[in-house]
Amino acid sequence: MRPLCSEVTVLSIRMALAGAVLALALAAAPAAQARGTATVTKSSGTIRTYQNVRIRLIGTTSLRVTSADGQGTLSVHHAACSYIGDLRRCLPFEITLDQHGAKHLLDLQRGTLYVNVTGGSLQMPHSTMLVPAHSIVLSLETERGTVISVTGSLDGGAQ
Amino acid sequence: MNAGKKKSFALGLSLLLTLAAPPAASAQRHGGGARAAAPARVSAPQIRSAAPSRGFDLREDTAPPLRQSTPLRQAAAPPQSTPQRFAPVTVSRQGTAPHAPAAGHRPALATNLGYGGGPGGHRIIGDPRYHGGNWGWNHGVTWNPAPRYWGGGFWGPWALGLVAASAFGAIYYDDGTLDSYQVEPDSPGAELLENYQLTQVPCGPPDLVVILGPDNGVICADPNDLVAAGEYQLDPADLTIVALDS
Repeated sequence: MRPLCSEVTVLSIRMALAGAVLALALAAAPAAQARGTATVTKSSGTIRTYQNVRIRLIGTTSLRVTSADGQGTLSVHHAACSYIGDLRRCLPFEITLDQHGAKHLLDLQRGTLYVNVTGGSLQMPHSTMLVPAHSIVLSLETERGTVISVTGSLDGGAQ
Repeated sequence: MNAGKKKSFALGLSLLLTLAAPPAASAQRHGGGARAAAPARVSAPQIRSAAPSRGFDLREDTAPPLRQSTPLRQAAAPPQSTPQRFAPVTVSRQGTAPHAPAAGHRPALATNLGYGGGPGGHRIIGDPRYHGGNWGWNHGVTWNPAPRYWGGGFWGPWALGLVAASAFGAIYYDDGTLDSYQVEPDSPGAELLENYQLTQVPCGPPDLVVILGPDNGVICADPNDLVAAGEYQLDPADLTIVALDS
């Protein structure tokens, strides 16, 4: 009786550990794939969050944010890039949405893009928020009052 | 034996659920928790997670699709300064400004620190702080003006049409008026003012330093030992200013 009980206990521990390993693997998988998060807040108050977006810098004048499913890509064209310490700040002046085989020009009103290409976190001006290493923080507002925010790490390294 | 398996399976399952929960909670926090906590701005926000395989939901903001043949890349290229943006201006109180430098033109005889002779004998004042050549003040990166922003964004991220409330005087010319706005700290314009030890003041009164920047962005400052009163054209490449009335 005693040996059987021990056997059951050992088996239970093994299965529990296996379950834990599986859980850890499942929990870690999205994190490994995660690139960034985009949030779209419409003037109506509706908020949509898009996880695992892919963020790429194209040269020094364009940023692309692709949805996790690859169906939509926001291209943000920016200029007037200057530096606050090591943190690069640029002003977006045009944004297009490439989706379902068509390109749409969004009516951009204003925005700010912060790019951190260094290996350490940098503090945003007039804020306690930190921009992590090799990451961006983007905020845009359209003429219709839609606010698009994107945060996350750069895919393929920053330029 | 069976009971033990069930127990361990339940344990594993509960652990799995516990570990799987944080990302969802994190998404909630990031997506709307902060805004939901500020009902004064948005009442009862409807927080939704993105539906899969749909891309971005920006239907209200999308204009009719552009034709595929439209050269978006070309259209999106950062604009280069055009001569029109830096066209010589006629100042009522000073007459016609003689031979203002065209866009992108750097006076060949520009000197740092102090006064030098420029094209047509214009006084040139080099940036007292940076001597490292073009764009040394910007980590060596070329600065290009951004459309939609006053002064191309040189003086701050002020979107055109949204800056009226922060007007900081104006310069009146024979052919129009250039409004001025307050320079934002941490902007290239603020760096220019700091380098020349200038303090911005509202445009309008006489005997001020008037600096014409990119995209007709103009600011004014009190004169000091480095910069005498008068009108100057800024060269953003090296933050040199060229007197237009000498």
